[in-house]
Amino acid sequence: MSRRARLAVASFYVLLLGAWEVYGRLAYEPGKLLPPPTTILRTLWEMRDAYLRDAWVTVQEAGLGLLVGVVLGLGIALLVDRFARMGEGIYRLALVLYSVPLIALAPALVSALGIGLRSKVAIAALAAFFPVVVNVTTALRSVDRRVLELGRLLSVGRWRTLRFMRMPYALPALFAALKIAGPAAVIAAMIAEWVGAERGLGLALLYAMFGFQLPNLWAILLLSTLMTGFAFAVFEVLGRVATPWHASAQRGER
Amino acid sequence: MAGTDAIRADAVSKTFTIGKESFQALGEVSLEIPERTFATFIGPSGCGKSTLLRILADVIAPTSGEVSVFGRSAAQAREERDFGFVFQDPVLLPWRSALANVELPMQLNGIDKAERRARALELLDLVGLQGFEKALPAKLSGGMARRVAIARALTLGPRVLFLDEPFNGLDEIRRQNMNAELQRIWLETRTTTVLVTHNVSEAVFLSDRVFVMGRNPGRIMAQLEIDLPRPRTIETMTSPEFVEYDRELTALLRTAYEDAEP
Ligand SMILES: Nc1ncnc2c1ncn2[C@@H]1O[C@H](COP(=O)(O)OP(=O)(O)O)[C@@H](O)[C@H]1O
Ligand SMILES: [Mg+2]
Repeated sequence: MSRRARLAVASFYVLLLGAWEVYGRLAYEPGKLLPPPTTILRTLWEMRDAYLRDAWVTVQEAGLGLLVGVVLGLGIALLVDRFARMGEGIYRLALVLYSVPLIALAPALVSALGIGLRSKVAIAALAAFFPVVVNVTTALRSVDRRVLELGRLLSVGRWRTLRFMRMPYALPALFAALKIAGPAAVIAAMIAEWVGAERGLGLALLYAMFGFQLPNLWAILLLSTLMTGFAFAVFEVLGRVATPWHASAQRGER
Repeated sequence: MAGTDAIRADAVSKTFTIGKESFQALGEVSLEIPERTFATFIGPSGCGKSTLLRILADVIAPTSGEVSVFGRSAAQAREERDFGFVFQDPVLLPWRSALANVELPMQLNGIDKAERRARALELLDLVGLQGFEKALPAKLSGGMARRVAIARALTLGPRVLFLDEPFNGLDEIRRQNMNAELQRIWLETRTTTVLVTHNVSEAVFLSDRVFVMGRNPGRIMAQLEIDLPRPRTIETMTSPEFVEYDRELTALLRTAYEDAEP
């Protein structure tokens, strides 16, 4: 983006926020949809201890869920790669599992695994594993045939061909998947908390909703958006650092 | 079996089958390449040069016929790391530096780090790439990437080096420079080498023996021994002997093209 374009975008947002602030101040009464931004920020500040504690719980759930999901997703991708025939079946099953709406699956999992950490991790993992399966499977399939021929010439076994020559090719695709899976895990953890939890940002959301506390709802919305945005940004940066050779990491160069 | 042949192909053929269609890329090809020879396949594109080269190196299996390398099967020779192979494109791993790409075959063969590093540096030196050890393939020019690929092919001290149009797409002067470089490397190592090209003067400049190939199906139509002293230089290329070989090979190649027309 040119500097002028960036300036235009920034001023658009400032104007929007300004208009919102003015509208909120003029028309706001408790229980209405749009509290002014300054009220939302003040609420966030006043509630910071409670909300940060809640957010930390959610982050832990999402983080663990993401970890489990990625391990699961990689495992499935490798199985699909190794056993073509059986892999097709596993891939379909994963697709079916992923197609079940989380909000429908969550009550069952919470009932079965309890309202503690385990159900949250399971649900976050279910949201996170599929992008990894799809991206990594596709990337492994599309490795240059000549690279495989190089492996054959060097008389490298299947495992080491995978490790030294094919997996690195799939790394950018894995990071692309993580940019989707990370935010998805946060959202899934909140949905799981919504269904039943002792702590967490999803639960705080539920309380604020039933208390008709709109500034609190907006404050939590803001905080959770920051969390998903952060989850995206982390993998964007990590991806660039880990695969500096990849075209998408070389923006602006050459 | 004669001990002086590095490679023997005996009635090798290849038929590709895609779905219900089958296509005979190679007829029955037989040939001998003596040890420490620089041999070249030349012919119209699509006549099966790459296919033949890949069969000799056991990258793909022939439909019928046999290949032996130093008295063993091609598969055995490949498994015993007899081959170095340079593909038509360099096929470097983009996340590895030039140095690490050259180290790859040694790393995969469990050679320890210090030793493989030293050897890789030596080879990058040999192909004239000192100073570019740390460069990623994306930062190398086409010619440099090809030289990295050549260095990589030489790492395990192959007994046979296969080169599939390694200088394709380079401009004429770069090609000549690379040819001179290749000859220098060959004179230093005396590795039995099989080159694929469709450039006549490149074939004459580098080879001891040239196989002229024709199409439909792919086969060897003529064989020419190039008896010019080495090292050959830019001056050699203007000598009457060189010009005569060039003319003769061009005539043979022309026949191969004419034969190939329907
Ligand atoms: N894997 C393959 N499957 C089907 N046809 C192939 C395959 N490889 C090569 N061919 C065909 O075999 C013929 C010879 O190919 P190739 O050996 O690459 O020719 P050259 O290297 O002389 O240009 C071509 O017609 C090509 O289309
Ligand atoms: Mg070819």
